[in-house]
Amino acid sequence: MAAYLKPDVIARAEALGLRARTIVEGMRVGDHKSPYHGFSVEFIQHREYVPGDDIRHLDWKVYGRSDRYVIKQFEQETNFVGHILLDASRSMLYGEGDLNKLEYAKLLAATLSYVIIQQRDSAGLYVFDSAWRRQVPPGSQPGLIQEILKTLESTEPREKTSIAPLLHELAERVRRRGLVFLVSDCFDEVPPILDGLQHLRFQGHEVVIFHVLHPDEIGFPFDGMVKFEGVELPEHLLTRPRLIRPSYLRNLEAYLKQLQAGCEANRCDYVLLDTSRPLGETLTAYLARRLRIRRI
Amino acid sequence: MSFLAPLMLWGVLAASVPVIIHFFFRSRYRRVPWAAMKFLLASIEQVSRRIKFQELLLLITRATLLALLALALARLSSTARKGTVEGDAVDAVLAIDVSYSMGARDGAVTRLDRARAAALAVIDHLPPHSTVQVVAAADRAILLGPAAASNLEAARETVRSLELSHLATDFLPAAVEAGRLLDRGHSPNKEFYLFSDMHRPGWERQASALNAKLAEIGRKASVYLARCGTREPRNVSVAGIAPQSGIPHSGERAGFAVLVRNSGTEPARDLTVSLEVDGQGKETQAILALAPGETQAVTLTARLQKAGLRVLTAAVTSDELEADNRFHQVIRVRDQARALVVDGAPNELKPELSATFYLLHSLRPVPESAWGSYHIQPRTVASGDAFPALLGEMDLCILANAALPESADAAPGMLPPEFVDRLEGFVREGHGLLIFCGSRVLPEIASRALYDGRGLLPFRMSGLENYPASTPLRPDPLTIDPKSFLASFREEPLSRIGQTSVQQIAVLDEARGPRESRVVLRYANGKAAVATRRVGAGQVILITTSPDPRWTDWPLRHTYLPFVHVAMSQLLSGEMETHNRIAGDSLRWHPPALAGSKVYAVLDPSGKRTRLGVPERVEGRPVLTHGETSRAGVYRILPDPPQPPREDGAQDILFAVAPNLAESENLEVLADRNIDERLGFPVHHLTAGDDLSAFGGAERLRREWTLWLLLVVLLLVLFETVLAWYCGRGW
Repeated sequence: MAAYLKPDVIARAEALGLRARTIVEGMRVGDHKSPYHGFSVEFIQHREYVPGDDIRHLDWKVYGRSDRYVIKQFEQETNFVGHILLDASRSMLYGEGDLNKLEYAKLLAATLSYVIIQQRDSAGLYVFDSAWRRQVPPGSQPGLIQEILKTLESTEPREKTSIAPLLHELAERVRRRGLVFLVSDCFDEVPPILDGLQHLRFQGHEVVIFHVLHPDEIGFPFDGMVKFEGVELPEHLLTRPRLIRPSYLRNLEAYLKQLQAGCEANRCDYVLLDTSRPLGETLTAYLARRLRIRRI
Repeated sequence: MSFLAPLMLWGVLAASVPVIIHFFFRSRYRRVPWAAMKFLLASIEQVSRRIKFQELLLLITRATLLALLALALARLSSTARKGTVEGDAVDAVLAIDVSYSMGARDGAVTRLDRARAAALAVIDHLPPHSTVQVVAAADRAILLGPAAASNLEAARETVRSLELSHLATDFLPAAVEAGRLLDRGHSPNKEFYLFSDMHRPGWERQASALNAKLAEIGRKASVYLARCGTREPRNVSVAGIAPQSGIPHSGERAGFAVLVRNSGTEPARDLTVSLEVDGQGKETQAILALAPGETQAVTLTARLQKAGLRVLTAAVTSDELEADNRFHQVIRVRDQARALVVDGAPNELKPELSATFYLLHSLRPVPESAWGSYHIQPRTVASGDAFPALLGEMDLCILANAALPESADAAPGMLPPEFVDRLEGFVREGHGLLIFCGSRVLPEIASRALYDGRGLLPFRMSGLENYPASTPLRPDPLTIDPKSFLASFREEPLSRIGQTSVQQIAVLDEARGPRESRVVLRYANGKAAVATRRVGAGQVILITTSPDPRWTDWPLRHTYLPFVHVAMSQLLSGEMETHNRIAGDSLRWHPPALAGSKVYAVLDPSGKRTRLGVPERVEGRPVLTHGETSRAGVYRILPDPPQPPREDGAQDILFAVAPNLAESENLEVLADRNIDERLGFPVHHLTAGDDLSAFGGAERLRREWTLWLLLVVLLLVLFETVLAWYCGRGW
């Protein structure tokens, strides 16, 4: 189980931390922004006084300067809940050793869980394929990490992928705003996925897509005569990969662009993870970028 | 079409290799579990038709490429000859012109040298298993070999040993021989080469037959005309030797006219003409200039010391064609010429009234005291006293108004029948017969005796004609054949023979005359005055008037004596025609009857000895024949084995063979385009110059499609490479 917690990855992720970029709801006062304005310690803006506002929040200095009545607004910081969705369908089976997509996804899920819990936020794990398979409800107690790791270790790929219905179901089920991490190869129809993401966003969640792909799926470096046997689809295809490589790459690129554009349109973070690249590098880069954007 | 290497056609099966490879690799693949199937399926759907087309195009290209490569290696050729031998072996016939115009200099070498070099180049570049036959071409074709046609080294040796002849040019015999040899060959590829200077007479001599033969050859073989020599030579030739005096006799210095002709196109200057006898006593004379086409007669003398057969040799300064610069002629030098004169009208009381009075004085135009030593010794007999044995020691016989017998029985005053019988043999053996008509020569009887039975008279006598003294017949010197022995009588002063009056003649029936009879002088009214006939080795001259003043005043005129001597000289030299031949003519000699079973050999001008064997008998007479006389010069027939030569060489029988001067009368050559116009079908023209690369079989290579096929293969390889790169499917 501890194999899923790489010290170097953990260390780098912890250093950057994982902050909620959007306004989330938290159970207790933490570091994350609360959607409720009130007595929070951080002033954010003025607005015109209207009859009925609490006069305790009048900014008398502004009145002294301008003879205008304005009210101060504050953000209340609180903790967030991270929902980690792990795709354990058969399509995640591809790859050997460290390049195996599911293992890579597990590593990422474990790292996220650890970082979130260590910073006293809540994390939960949802393993799915065509339906929810296993769920570890969100929590912030340190012992939850072991349960998550245990769940990850016992997860084996099976069944087909069906992401969209699960996203919709999660959006309906989880009322409190939080962070949703989708760790999947997204080998499903893009528009339904985007609809699901949109539903989550509508519900106020911050969504991050970790798109896990094997370098073979990205580069299609095959040669000679190959019989491709579908792991989810029943089709198989005997062909010379060199003949169709250009077309495959074009189709893949179009799919990625569609997914990326859809994520961007829904203001979801999209991170393409190549399993041949060390996770630490990719995750660190993403967290640093995320931190930079938050400060701006 | 044919394939020069048909076994390579099995390589066409290699065209199936790409197909086999295609199916082989389709059966060998690795399995990959794949998640992103939808992208693959979408790709296949987009490119499957294009991929299938590209694959098919590549397959066709590669299969075609391999098939064409196999065809190229099989050496597809456009030669379409029937034959049973596979491969590119060639049956080649090389006809090399050895006529003496090929001896002309072309730069530092002769035309024949160029022909040899070109022929050797052809042999050197023949494909393996080829055959060669070499034919010497002149006015006859001689197959020189090699005995084994596939022995190319022997063929080379045959070419190297080729010698120039003195024959004229005629391409037809060589073409006929070549056609026969090509038919004998087994290879489907046949080639005929003619190495020649393309001398015009060779094309024109038998033009239509030659064109037809070459066309026939052209249908089964490739015809190559190799031009040997491009420069027109300067040429002066010795055209002949004409005696200026009468009968050559020992002890005299006789005059001879050496005829020199310029057959070139440029003037010849500063020539030196020489004459010698038996290689000695050379006398020379210069000719300052000789225009093109001009013939000059240069008079030279020669000392005739000994009797017997002598060789006169005339020569002219060396030029660019030496073969005709020397001319040999055999003459018989006599101590004395013995003539049997048969007087048909003797008159002992008044000899001047006899038929032979003026004749005998003409025969010996010297004082009576000198008669004994004169070179002409006549013996006169009356007709009735002429008996066969008298002819035994004579050189010629003269019948002067001699009556012929009416029957087989002897009659007084007439020639005995047995004498007449012997007369035929006498003439056929090579002796001369001079017949004068007269009152005692009855046309019908004479015709029966000398024409019908024995073939001695040139023509039958049909009757006699009389002319009044006021209007006599006169001989017309313009009717004399310029080439006859009476040619000198066309010019002054001898042309005054036309002033002779003739009042009575025997009329000849020329309509039924034999081929060997000719009229050499006519009267003004066209009737024959002098006629000749070749009979065997001898000759007969018939004068249709009398030898005495009864019918004509000729014996009283100055032209009578020279006529008699010229006629005698002609009769005596008639036998010399058998000793003076032209290159290519057979030598024919009748040895003495007593020779019996003696064996003879012939020595040719180069010194080569050829055994002739024992004389064979033809019509009761022994005869020896030798046909290999392609080289000019002196041939000697002598006993075999050789016997110690006598000092005067009397035992050698001499023959002079002259070049066939028709060859150098016209040295013009035909240009290639003229030849093509004559033949009417394309032939290959080559030039045997210093550069012999054209004889390397390049034309043979061009017949092959190999290079074109390889070019197409190269283009297909380039196309396949580009296509495979485009399709992402290189080798």
